[in-house]
Amino acid sequence: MKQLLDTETPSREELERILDTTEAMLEISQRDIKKVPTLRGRTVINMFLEPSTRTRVSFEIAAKRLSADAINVTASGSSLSKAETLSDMARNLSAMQADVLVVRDRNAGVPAMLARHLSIPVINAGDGNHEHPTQALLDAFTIRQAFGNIEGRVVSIIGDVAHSRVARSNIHALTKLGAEVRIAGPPTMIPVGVEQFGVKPCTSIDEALDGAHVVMMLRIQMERLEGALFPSVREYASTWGLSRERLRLARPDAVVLHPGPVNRGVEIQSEVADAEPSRILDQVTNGVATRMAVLYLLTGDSQ
Amino acid sequence: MTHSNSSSGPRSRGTDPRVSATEASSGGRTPESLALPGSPDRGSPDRPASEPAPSGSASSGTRGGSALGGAIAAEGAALDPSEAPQPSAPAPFRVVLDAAGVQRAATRLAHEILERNGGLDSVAVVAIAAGGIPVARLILDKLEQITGQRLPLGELDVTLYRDDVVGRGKRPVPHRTRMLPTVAAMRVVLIDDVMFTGRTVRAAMDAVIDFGRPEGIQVACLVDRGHRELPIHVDFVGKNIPTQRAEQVSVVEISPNTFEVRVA
Repeated sequence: MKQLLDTETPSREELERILDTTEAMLEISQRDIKKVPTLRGRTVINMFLEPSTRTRVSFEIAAKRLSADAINVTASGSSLSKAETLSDMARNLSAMQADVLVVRDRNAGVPAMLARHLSIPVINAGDGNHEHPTQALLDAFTIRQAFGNIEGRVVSIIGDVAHSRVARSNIHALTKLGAEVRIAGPPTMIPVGVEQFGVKPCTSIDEALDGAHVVMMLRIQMERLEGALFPSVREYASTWGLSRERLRLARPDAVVLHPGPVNRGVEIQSEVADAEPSRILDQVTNGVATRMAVLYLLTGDSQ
Repeated sequence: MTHSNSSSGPRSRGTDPRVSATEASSGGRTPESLALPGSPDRGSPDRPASEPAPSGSASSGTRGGSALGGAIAAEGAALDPSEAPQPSAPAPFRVVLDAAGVQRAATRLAHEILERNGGLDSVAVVAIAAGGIPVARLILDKLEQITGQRLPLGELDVTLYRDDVVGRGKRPVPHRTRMLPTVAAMRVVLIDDVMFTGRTVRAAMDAVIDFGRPEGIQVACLVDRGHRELPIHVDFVGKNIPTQRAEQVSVVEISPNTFEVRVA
């Protein structure tokens, strides 16, 4: 695997190789000395052209735990969003002998475009409404951690599926890994023809939750929603939000995932987010290990 | 032999690619080889870091193979097949240490470890994953028979510390390390199945020290096949088996908890 631009392209075997490697990486973060020498002397550039705390810090920690040098580039004060400027930047980074480029951008396709200009591995850390592959991998890992496997598990993804790169990456990854994926949300937030991705659309949250192993709540992205896709936050919370009572519809051992940051009281009630079935903080922990696995595998395979 | 090999290390590089290729595939190549009682999660990781580095650690790639997959690539040229009963008859390998021989070697290793350390009080046994795990369990069994004391076993994967993985090339999937709660101030006995280039032990020493400062580190192996490329000394050897570089040495589980050593 030379790039990680999406979860649509890699084979099931490639995804599983990343999950297997994540298992070993997870242990490193539990040591007193949380560092191995594997990527000593390598340079990882984290180019985050859209605001991000969790993912950027996660990639930075992942690189450092592998002993790579991590350099963070942000868009603040510059006008990097034009395609031409980006390709120039790519050439400059290349000339500085970076070994890996991690990119987040608000426009779909930017990581893929940069990958075409560069000979080094490019990792998509989220591009617009397109994909966020490392998030899907850490979600898959968290599911495997909870149940031992993914095959046959029922995963319900609830919320703004149409505008969610997390949902898109998860749909590709989880169906490929053998899960039964259901989606539910307001009709304005469900893509037309979504069945063709091998998922089952549900008309209510109750239908989606029934017997589910995994409940994945999506964040309502207030900053992206310009038009009114739902009447009000209160209405959304009562129709599509996850409460403790609703969660009883899922299996007794069901787990709850959320990519963060959480809008408490909107898509998920605090009573659920902070309770036992929640794996939200495990997801963050697993995110570092997942990104270590991806950095480790890509830096070798790309040569 | 070891000496001559170590000095010839760099020169032998020419043949390395071939060696590594063969050895790299050893885990998968010998299907019957070691199902790795010790590796819970996966059967056959993609082999080692072998294709790699022109700088050459093809041979260490071999060790990578053993560490990761189970079967050990070693070699045992000129070994006397006579020594083994060869239960599974005609096959393209020779048994250089049969099941009874493996038991005897493990018993002797246990006694030597006890004697050197004056008991087990400050001994911490750490297996190098994955090939060292079954060998270590065997030695722990013997130690228990002798002393009545069952020591816990640490499992150390050294993939992320290897000099050949640090280079470039298809990455092996590491095993999860399950280290003992503490190694600080302990006498750590590292156990591996086959001693070859010494690169695995070098990586393992770095890894152990990341977990704390041990009072000392000792190394035990079931088989020493020679061809050291680093100045690494083995404290306890089950059996010395002279081999040719290109040969492959495997510790194979022929029935539950019964092992023999083969050279192909």
